[in-house]
Amino acid sequence: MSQLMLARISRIDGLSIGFGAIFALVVAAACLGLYLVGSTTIERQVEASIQRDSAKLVGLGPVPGRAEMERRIAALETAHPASSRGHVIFDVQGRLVYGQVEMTSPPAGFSDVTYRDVQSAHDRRAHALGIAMPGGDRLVIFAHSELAQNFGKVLVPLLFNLLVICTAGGMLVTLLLGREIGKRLGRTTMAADAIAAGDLAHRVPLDRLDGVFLLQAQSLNRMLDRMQDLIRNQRQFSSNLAHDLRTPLTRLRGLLSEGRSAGNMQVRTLMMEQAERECTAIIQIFDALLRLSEIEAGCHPAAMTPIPLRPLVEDVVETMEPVLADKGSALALDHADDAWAVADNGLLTQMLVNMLENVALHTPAGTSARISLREDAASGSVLLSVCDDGPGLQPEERERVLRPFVRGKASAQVKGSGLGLAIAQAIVGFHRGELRLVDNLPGLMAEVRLPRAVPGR
Amino acid sequence: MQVLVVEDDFEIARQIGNGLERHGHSFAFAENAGSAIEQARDNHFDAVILDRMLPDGSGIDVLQALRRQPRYAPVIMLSALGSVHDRITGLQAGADDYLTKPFDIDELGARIDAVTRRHTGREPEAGFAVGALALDPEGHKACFRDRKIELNRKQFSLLAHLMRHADRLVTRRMLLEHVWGYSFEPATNIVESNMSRLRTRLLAVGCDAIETRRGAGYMLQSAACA
Repeated sequence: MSQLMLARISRIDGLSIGFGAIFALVVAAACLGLYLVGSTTIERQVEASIQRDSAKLVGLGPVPGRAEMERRIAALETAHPASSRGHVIFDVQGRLVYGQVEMTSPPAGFSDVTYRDVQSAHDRRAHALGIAMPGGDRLVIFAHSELAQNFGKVLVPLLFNLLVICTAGGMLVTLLLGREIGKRLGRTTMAADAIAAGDLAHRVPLDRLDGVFLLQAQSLNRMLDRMQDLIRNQRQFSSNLAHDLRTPLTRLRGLLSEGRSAGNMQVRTLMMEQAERECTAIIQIFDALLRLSEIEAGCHPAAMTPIPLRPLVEDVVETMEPVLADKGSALALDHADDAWAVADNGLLTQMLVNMLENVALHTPAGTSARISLREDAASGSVLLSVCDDGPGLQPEERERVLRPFVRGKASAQVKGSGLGLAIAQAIVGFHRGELRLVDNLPGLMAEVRLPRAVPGR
Repeated sequence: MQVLVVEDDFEIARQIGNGLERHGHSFAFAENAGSAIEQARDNHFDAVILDRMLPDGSGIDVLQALRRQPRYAPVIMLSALGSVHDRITGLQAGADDYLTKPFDIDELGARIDAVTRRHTGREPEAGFAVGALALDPEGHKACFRDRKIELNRKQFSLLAHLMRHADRLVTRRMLLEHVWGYSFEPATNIVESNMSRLRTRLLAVGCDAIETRRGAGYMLQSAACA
């Protein structure tokens, strides 16, 4: 086990000691509460029994004198010979004048007293009620309860034992739990360490994991899959970029070295012009790349407001129609609803221009392209589509060509940044829309779905 | 014209200098921000070409310092930072134009021409007529002598821009920026195709005033509109 793992486990142990201590405190508080509730309940019961006697001896009328009281006491004790309560009378000087116990006169009201039973000669504790009688005498009713006397003696050691057992048990349980959690987390940690060390294919092993740990590991593995995909795409992107740059650069170097040795001035001028065009192509790739990253990173200063899409589409058709006509193809506006969307005018224009440039660059002369703008009230969206009757794309190519620098098989030799559709895709994503390439039977249809906006809101 | 070139890359500065001489301008160099501010304070310049990133500070800071001086020349900012955001911050800081590297020297020449005219107020207003060629904005129409042609909106704005800058070189990039408002570089010949349509429309009424400067841009010849 590595130093790091040991350090982690000891941190978990510290955690379990902490949790054990908190658990012990909670148990101690519960014990104290139990003791207080128990002793209070017993005291209340004792007081209630004393008050019952007091009601019988004093009644509703005035407190009777000593002789009458002695009579009532004798009658009560005769009726309940096994009662745990005793009844005594003290005179005004505090001397015991009635009763078979030794006791000093307690104050009026409830108090705790100690008395000695004359027969058994044992000191006992009792709860007592002092009631004033005519002539300064005082009636004292006292109740001795074995339960009250022994409650603390029995319960305190019991609760103490419980406290010790619970504390130790709690610490042990949290310690074990901590270790088990540590073991499960250790797998995630080891996976993370392996990935940090460069093994991107490493995943958290899912066997022997359950519950939240399984869910957590699964979610982590999903994240790792996604990251690996992204990194793979990034690598693919870099190697595609290198390829796309290497090609015009190779042509450029060839032109420059040939141009140097070309004797004919006219040939040399032609080569220079060709070299300039190659440079322009390279610069275009960089411009497009910059644009793509700017849009994807969301740092394009877009003016997102509700805009009418129809003038935008008409404008693009007006601009691109001569471009397609010069290639021997055609462009027409098929249908245009008065649809609105929250969008950036410049970005949506670029998206449509890119799509139509694809038609111009990747379809043969004679292709006819159509644009349509439809409002789909049911789904609350706007559908913008660009379709052509050109050669179209194979189903497996349709997904791929949305990636940077990926072209259809038929267009491998066509110039262009190779980023047109990737930028269109990024723009659609920026507008929270959806871009689909579908078969137009024949040809290709690029369909963009954007959230619909209501004018003036 | 006297132009101050603020550029720390010697090779780029040399090419700009040669290009300016070819266009008949004289120039002075500054290779850092401090020297640029000092030279602009002590000498008169008709235009400043200012690199955005300098060894001792940002071109934006230099721009702000230049703007605080009592007389200031129009500034064209040059930058390798080509994003729309960079462009907007450059223009907001007070640059009269913003050109992304790499650029063509003719492009720079045409832009110096445009900003200095705008700055000195020598630019003709309205521009709805050049000789016998006139624009009628009501119905997107153009008239040449007594013949009328209808233009679409793009052709109309294209012709209006050329007429406003009659007898001056207007580059492809300038047209994309000002007529189309595009901040991206199209992969097809958008300007060429639309210009060719416009030219055909004008030829139909006997006007052959748009001259193509190969590799540089277009110029509306007022002499051909008489």
